[in-house]
Formats: sequence, C-alpha cells, structure tokens
Amino acid sequence: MTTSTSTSTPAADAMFEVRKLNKSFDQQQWVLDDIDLKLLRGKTTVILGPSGSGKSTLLRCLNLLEEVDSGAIWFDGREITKEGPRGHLLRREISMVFQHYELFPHLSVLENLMIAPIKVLGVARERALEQAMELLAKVRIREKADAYPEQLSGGQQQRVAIARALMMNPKAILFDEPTSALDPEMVKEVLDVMVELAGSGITCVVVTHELGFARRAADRVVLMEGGRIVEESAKEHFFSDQASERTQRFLQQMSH
Amino acid sequence: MSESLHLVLEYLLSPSFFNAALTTLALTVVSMLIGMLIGLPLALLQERRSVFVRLPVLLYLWLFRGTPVLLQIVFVFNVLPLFGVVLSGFASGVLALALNEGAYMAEIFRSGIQAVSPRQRLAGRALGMSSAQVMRLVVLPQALRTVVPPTGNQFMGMLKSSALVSVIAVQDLLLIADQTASANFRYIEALSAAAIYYLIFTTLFMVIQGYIERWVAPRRSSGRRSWSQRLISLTSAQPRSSQ
Repeated sequence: MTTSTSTSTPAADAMFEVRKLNKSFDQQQWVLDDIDLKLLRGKTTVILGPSGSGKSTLLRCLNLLEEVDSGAIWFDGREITKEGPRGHLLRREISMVFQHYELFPHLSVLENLMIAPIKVLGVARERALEQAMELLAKVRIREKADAYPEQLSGGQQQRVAIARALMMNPKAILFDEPTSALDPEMVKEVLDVMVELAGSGITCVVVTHELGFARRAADRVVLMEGGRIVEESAKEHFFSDQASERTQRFLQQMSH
Repeated sequence: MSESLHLVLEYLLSPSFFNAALTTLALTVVSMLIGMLIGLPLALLQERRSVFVRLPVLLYLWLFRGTPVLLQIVFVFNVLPLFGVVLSGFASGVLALALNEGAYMAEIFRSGIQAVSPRQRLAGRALGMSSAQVMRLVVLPQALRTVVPPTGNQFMGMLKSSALVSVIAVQDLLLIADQTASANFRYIEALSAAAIYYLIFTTLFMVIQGYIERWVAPRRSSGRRSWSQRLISLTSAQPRSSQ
C-alpha cells in the first residue's frame, strides 16, 4: 500500500526524496516512523545511529528491496514507490554494497563484475571486460581478476564488490555497513576507496558506524534512533557543539 | 569351481545378458533424466507464494512418494490401457519410474535451492536482475553443488529399482538372470553375472559423479589436484569442503 502524500514534484537538487515513509513488521513494531528526508544529488550522506534504529531498513527502501507500508520515495524526479513490480528496472540505476560483500562464489572476480552489465544491461562482452579491468585498477586489485572470491581477504572482496556496483554506472550507490564485517586492519583499504568515490561526484548513501569516514568524506550526516530521524545536517554542523544534545551524546558514546 | 567361473563368464558375454544389461542401463538413465526434468520445475513452483500453485505440487509429491513404486509400475502397465493408452513394457517402466523419481528430485532440487543464502538473492536483485535471472544466474549454479551428491545416490537407487520392471515382463538384467537360472538351476552363476553388471554400472556412476563434483566445486584458479586426492574424493560421499 503506497499512498502519495503530496503531489508536488521534488526539489531539483534531490536525488532521493522520502516523504512520510512508514514501515512496520507485522503491523506491530514501527521500524520506520514518518521519515522525511532529502538526499542531495552528487553528495555523500552518512546515516548513523545505534543498531536497530532502522537505518539499514531505510537504505533498502530506497532501492525497493524492502516494501514500505505508506509514504512516498522519489528518485531522480520520479516517484518510485508507485513502480511496484518493476522494481528490478529501477535497481539498474541504483547500486548497493553489502556488509558481507555478497560476491557470487561460483564466478571469478572478473565474471562477478561482468555478469550484471552483460545480462541485465545488454552491454557487449568486450566493452564490459574493458570497463571491469579499469575499475579493478581503480580499486587497486587488478591482479586478482581471475581469482575466485574465496581466495580473497574480506577487504579485497569488499573492494571487488564496490567495483561490481560501479559496473552498472549507477546514479547512486547505497552502502549498507560496508566495513562492519571486516577485520580492523582491512577497514582502511575499503574506506580509502570509498572516500575517493565520494569525491567523484556520484551520489552516495552510507550506513556505517565509522565516524572517521563521516568526518572525512560526508557532505551531510543523518542520525537515526527508534525509526525516526533525530538530526539531519551538514557535516560541519553535525560534528560541532551546535549539534543537538542527542547527537552530542551519541557521538560521545561512539568515541568510547 | 573353474566350471562355475567359466559359466559366469559365458553368461557375462552372452548376447542375452548383454542386451538385458543395456535395457537396465537405458531404463535407469532415461528415467533419471526425465525425473530430473520433472523435478526442477516442481521445485521452482514450490518457491511460489500462491497456494494454488503449491497445492497441486504437494499433491504430486504426496502421491508418488506415498505409494510403492512397484504399485506405480503395475498401475501404469495395467490401468492406462483401460483408457486407450497402450505402452510397451519398457515405456511403461520408464513412465512410472520417471514420475516417481520426479517427486524425489523435486525435493532434492528444493533443498539445494534453499541452501543458497537469501543474501545472495538480495545481491542479485540489487544488481537489477529479474527474479528469473536471479534464479538462473545466481541461485541454481550454487544449488548445483549441493544437488550433485544426492542425485548420484538417486542414480544408484534407480539402477536397482529398475529391476522391478521385471514384473511387467521387461527383459532387464534380473529377469534374464532369473529365467536363465530356472532353466538349469545354476542360480549362483546367473545371479553373479547379473550382479557383476550392476556393480560395473554403479562404479561407472561413481566415477562420473566424482568428475561432476569436481566440475561444480568452488573454483580456485590454481586448481590442480594429485591422483591420490582424486581417488579420495571419489570414495567420499560428500563434496570436499573448500578450506
């Protein structure tokens, strides 16, 4: 059930615009409670919050991997919550990077990168191969092109997953806790790639616990708690003493 | 004793035993292949949410797993002609064995599909794949790995179940051995010759299964294994874990 709460078109600078979004599990527990949010085109937004605050669920609503109860989501000027069963067409334009990488174990690194462009977008094999090698170089793992996922470390797998997401030439990339499953010594190599990406002008939405990444690469920061948005502001404001009391308390807890 | 061995050898090389062995092999392979062709769509249909799709499938599984395969063979051979469908003994045997096998293969495919992590499907969907593409490109290739060993078991089981068609007068290995023995009461020799054929076929199936398992195993780019490792993997029932 999706009901459009407003017929007005979204602001031109918004890649995503979320209006009065509600989601519950079994009509009981509200996971997302009346979310209003604008994610700016070409900017990097980091979503922070304690576990269970609904941030990963919100992220999966943005590419319709989760169904919503009510409210509207606009993407690139159109209301995607109305598109329903054609969600897989939308997801050609929005890529996603997962906590546990989710590379396909039966395919080599190169095949992992090439399968969706070839099978979903209909890109020619030679063109896909060329782009794959470029992207593997960009995430600094070109020498592993013929390896299989299980032969790679977690950090390497996640960098391949980022390259796989970029293969679709998406308008936006969603990161779902991309460093939470990594050994500490591998976090940096993945974050470095993400920082470069954030600076490249693609719209990034990053759910993470890495305050350091937010400080380095975010344009805007969102704090969620209990399915609601507690604060949404520019990075400089978020990390200053002008941020809300709740935000400052959260940041204090995180730094312990 | 040497006379016995001589007789076994004579049976083994006789045209009647050889033809019977071919009949048994053909029954097994054809029934298994059709059974797999029936089983895969049944497994995919069970993935659907709709009760109207799943209920007929459950009915099929209940019917064919719930009654003896011998009954199904006799039923096909004796009841279908009443409705004007007259099949040869061999065709009746294949039809009954394949329908029965389809029910078991459906369950094997279903368990293989369910063994693939839901997060893998999510990753496929996030890349813009349709449900059918997720199944074909992501889930089924991975399910294959879990499906091969139980399918190998089914092949061996089918080889032996195929002996049941002797009740509808198909000239398979068991029937020929039994007929030969009842002519001169040399049961040991005739049955031994049949047993040797069965063992040759099961050995063949094991070797083929070993090759297929290695083919679908998690790949490594530097994947060359010694002969001793190959022999070990041939004799172990489960695919070797990939550490």
